Amino acid sequence: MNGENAILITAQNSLQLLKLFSYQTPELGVCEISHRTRLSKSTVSRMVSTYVEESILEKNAKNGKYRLSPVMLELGLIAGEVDPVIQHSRNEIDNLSRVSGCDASLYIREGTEAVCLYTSCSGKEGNGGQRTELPFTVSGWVILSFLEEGTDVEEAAGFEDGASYGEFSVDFVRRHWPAYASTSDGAELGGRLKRIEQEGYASGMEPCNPSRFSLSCPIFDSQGTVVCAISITTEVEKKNLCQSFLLVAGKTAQRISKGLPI
Amino acid sequence: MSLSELSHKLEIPKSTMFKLLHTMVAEGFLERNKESGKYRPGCRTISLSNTVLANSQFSRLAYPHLKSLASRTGLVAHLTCYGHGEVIWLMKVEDENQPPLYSRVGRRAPAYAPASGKAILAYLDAEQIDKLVGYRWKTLTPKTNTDKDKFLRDISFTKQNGFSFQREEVDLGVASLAVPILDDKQKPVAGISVAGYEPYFNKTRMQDICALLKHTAREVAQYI
Repeated sequence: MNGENAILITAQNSLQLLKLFSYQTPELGVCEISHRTRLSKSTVSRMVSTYVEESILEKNAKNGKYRLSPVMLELGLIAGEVDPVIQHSRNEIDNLSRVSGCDASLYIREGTEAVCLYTSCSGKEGNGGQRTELPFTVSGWVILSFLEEGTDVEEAAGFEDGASYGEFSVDFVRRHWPAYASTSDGAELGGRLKRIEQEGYASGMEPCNPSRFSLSCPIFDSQGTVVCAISITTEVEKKNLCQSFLLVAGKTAQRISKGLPI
Repeated sequence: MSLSELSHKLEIPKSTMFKLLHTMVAEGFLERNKESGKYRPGCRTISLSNTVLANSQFSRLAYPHLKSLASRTGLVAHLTCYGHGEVIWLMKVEDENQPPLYSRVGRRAPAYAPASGKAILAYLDAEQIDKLVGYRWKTLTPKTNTDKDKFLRDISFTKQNGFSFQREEVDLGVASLAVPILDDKQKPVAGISVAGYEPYFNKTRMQDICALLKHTAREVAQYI
C-alpha cells in the first residue's frame, strides 16, 4: 500500500482541525474552522462534538468557541518523556542553561517549521512546543543552512549534484516563502545562510521577538545530516554574555550529535 | 504501542488501524519507532500541549501565588483541574532548595486519590459524586483508598473543614494537602495542593499549611 492510499481523509481532516489551535489562535468557532479547513459547517460541527465528547476540545461557555482541553497536556508530557532525541539531549541542555545562565532549547525541523522540543530555563524544564517558520527564528537559520538535497521527497528534484548546502537552502527558502524571499530581508537571508554554513553557527536577534538574542548550533546525525539545533537565548542587552558561550554551546552540540538515536 | 495492541484495544480491524496510524504519523501526531515498529506520541502533541499551557491565563495569574506558597511552605505547589472523573496537573511550582518530587504538568490521576481531587469532589453536585462512585476504582499504590464509604466520609470531612489530605495514595512516600478554588457560587473550578515527603506532614505543620493554602485559594479565586 503506498502512502497516499494509506491516508484516511476524514481522519486527516480531523487532525488538521486540531492543528489550527495554536498560541495565536487558542480559541476557534465552527465558522472559523470551517473557513480555514474548507470543510462544511455541519462536518466541522460533528468533528468538534466528537472531540468534546472525547475531552480533546472543550467549549468556552462565554463565547461558544472551542479550545484544546487540558487532557492534551498528558499527550505532550508523554511525547516529551519518550522522544529519544529529547531523552538523549535533556541533561546536556539543562547543563548548558545552568552554565550559561541563558534559556537553552532543542529545535527540530518538521516540514517548514522549527519546533521547540525542549527548553531549559536556569537548568529546569520549561515549556517547549513552539513552532516557527524556519526563516523567522535563529535556530531555523542553522537548520536551513545545512539542509541537504533530498531531505524531503518533494525537494529532491531539480538540483545538481555537488551543490553546496547554502545554494540548496536559498532555493528552499525561495520555493517555500516566495513573498519573503523577494523582500530585502529575504534577499539578505541567502548571504546569512552561507555565512552560517561557513562558520558553523548562527547568532542574532530573534526575528519574531527582537528583544531576545539567540546563538544556535547544528546537531548532525551519523550520516552528517542536520537533524536539529540547540540554541541559547537571552535578553538582547546580554548578547555579549550569550556569545561568550559559543564554544560551550558548540561542544554541547557535538556531544549531542555523538550517538544521536536517529 | 504496536499496531496489533492498538487494534486489539480499540477493537478496530488491523487494516483500518494501519491507515489511521499512517495518517497520524503523516500529520505529526504519532511517530513510529523504526526498530520496534511501535508508535509513540509525536512532536505535534508537544506543540498542542504547549498551546494549552501558554493560553491558560488563569494559570499565569495564579503562578506568583503558587510560587509564594511553595516558598513559604517549603513544599511543591500544584494547580490542578478536574474533568471526567480525573484530576490534571496544570502547574507545578517548587522552591529552589526542595528535594525533587515526581510530579509533572499534564499528569492525570483518578480524582478520588489525590488531595486536590478530593477537595474538588467535595464541592461537586451529589449527582456527579454518585456517578463517580458507580465506576470501578483502581489503585495507584497499595495505599490508595478504594473503599467508597470511606471516600464519602472523607469528602464530607473536606466540606466541613475546607481542606483534604492524602498520604501515599498517589505516590508512595508522598503526602499532600489541598483546598478547592471556588467561584462565587461555591462551585469548584480548580484545586491547589502542596506535596512533599510523607513524614513532613505532622499535625502542627498541617494546621499552618492549611491556613496558607486557604489564603492562596482565596487570592487565586479573584482571577476566575
